[in-house]
Amino acid sequence: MTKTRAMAPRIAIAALLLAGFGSYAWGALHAPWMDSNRPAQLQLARQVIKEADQRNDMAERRLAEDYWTRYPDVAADAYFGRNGKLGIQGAHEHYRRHGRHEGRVWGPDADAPATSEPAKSK
Amino acid sequence: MYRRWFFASLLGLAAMAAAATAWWPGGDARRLNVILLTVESTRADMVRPDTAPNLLRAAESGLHFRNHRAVSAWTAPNAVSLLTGLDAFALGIHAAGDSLPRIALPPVDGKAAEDPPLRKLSERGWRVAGLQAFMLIDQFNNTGLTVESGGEFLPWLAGRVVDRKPFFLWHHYLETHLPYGPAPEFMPDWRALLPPGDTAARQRIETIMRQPAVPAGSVAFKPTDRDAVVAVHEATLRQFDAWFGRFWDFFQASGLRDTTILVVTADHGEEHLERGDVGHASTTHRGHLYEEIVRLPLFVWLPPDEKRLERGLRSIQAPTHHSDVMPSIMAWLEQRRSAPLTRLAEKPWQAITSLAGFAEPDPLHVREFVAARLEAGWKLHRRYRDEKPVENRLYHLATDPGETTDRAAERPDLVEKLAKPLDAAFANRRQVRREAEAAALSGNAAAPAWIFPAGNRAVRFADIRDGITLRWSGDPAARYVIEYQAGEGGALRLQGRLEAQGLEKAFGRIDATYWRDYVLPYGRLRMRVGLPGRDDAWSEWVEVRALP
Repeated sequence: MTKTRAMAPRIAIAALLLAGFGSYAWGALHAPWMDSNRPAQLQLARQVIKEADQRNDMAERRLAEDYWTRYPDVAADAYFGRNGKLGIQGAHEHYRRHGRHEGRVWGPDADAPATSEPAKSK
Repeated sequence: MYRRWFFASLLGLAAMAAAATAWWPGGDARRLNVILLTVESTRADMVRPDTAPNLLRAAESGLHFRNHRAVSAWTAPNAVSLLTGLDAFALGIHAAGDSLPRIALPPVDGKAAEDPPLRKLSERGWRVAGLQAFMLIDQFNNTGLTVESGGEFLPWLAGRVVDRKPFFLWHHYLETHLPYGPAPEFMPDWRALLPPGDTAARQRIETIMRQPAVPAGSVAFKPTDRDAVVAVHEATLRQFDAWFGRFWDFFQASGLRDTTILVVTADHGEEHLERGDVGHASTTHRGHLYEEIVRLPLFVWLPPDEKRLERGLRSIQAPTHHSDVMPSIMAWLEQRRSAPLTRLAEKPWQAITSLAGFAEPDPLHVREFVAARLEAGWKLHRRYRDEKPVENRLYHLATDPGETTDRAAERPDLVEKLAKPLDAAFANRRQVRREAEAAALSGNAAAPAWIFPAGNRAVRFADIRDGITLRWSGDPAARYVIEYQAGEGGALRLQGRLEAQGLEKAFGRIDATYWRDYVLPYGRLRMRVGLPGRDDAWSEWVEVRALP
């Protein structure tokens, strides 16, 4: 009897420890790094994002080429041009910052005439 | 001995803390996402196995609400009701330019004003977003929505799969709106549904395939046109269903199915010549609340691990409406089973609409409304003009689902019974007092002048696809109003006002389909900017012509 009574607190603490860490282990089993589906889900998500970026890049490249074709002075610019520091974003950046105020045209039709005599690109 | 007890106790406390973290219901372990997907102009009876097989197949694992209704007859009040949980009487959105108050939702039933639910979610860490430029218009102000204009639906969701941050996304599928222009692979042989050789009939159907609005009386439709009207409109739903199928595949494969509450419904329905018109309030300018406009599909999917929140339900016949949706979403996010949508309570339904919605000719002075109440199977339509009731129509839906036999004269007792709460709701409805408020604020400031556009100009889609920002001179701290007139006469005319704070108004990216279907048909847009409440402080009119 005395021995049982002496053991009781130890048993109680052991049971508490078991319940506590058991609950924590159950939570850990549901953690993201334990989800075997996660790598495939991430791969799918990244593929969707990559395809969207490629679509946007292709559309941007077509419009940039049309703009440079229409305005050789911009195409030759060291910053906004075909070989400029901004790459394919240079054409649209030029239009945003300067071209639209100078009356230049941004669009897919390479044969569309400029609506006014453009100022020298900055 | 003492040390052993001390460290054993510490370990026990640590274990209990760990257990509490794992089991605490309000912990971060389970912050569900929400996708609210609304489908434009889609009535409940359009959703069938032959028109929406992907949607209905997916619905086998969700909740199907078979008796769901809108709260108004056009997009904005219904969408804002879905986003806030308020009904159309409380919202006060009846025309272009109407929006919720800046600080908090309007108080309802004597309760104190509350923050919009989406703002609460945002404060708790959800990314609350809409991706479409039209969500920047005034009607959606102050809902708590952040418009990330130009984002694409699936790539945006894919970004959330990667970063695993909780989100609320509202996406509105627009391609089921007039003009009905399904892609070639969905286009039906509508000509075969018309009387042979009837070129006038073909022209009438071509009108609904070309114009974003068909005002009542502008086209003399015949009853024999109906099959073709339904066929071309339902073809746009088939196209939606194909799109939904691709979304559903991604939704499951990406794991979002396990972590997201998905709600699919419509903003409102659409008339298919039941009353002589094709469209809804904003497009016919003869708005009403008959079942073809208000009876809508509603589907909800809860994550599989949250089955207990479904309460064992699958197909729900109890009446529900748009203002039940957001409170239900909030209940589910808080892991509560007491969602209004699943309470199965038989309750009355009420709705209100202006006649022309977004196209109201005088948005600041809407004089005519239609309200309706459905109770115990009887539906009263009550028209108000200059604040007074002027007409009643009463229908018994069980025996007259098409609402063709008006029984108001036969049952004045029921008219009186249903009119009483409707009159009370109408009298207490929120009424936006924009001009009075703004005039009190604007003082004696000088009239603004346009900076961009600096003068009349033509614009192509390529010029504005990345967004456009209107700019004017003036006081950066003042409020301004932009008055616009779209169209060149004829059936397609739109006018209204937009509010702006400061010296610019930005419009985000729009896609080519939106430009083609909703901007090009109007051809010309005239705008002027001024100070609210001041007729002597307008800029000059500037005209912008839309080119392909």
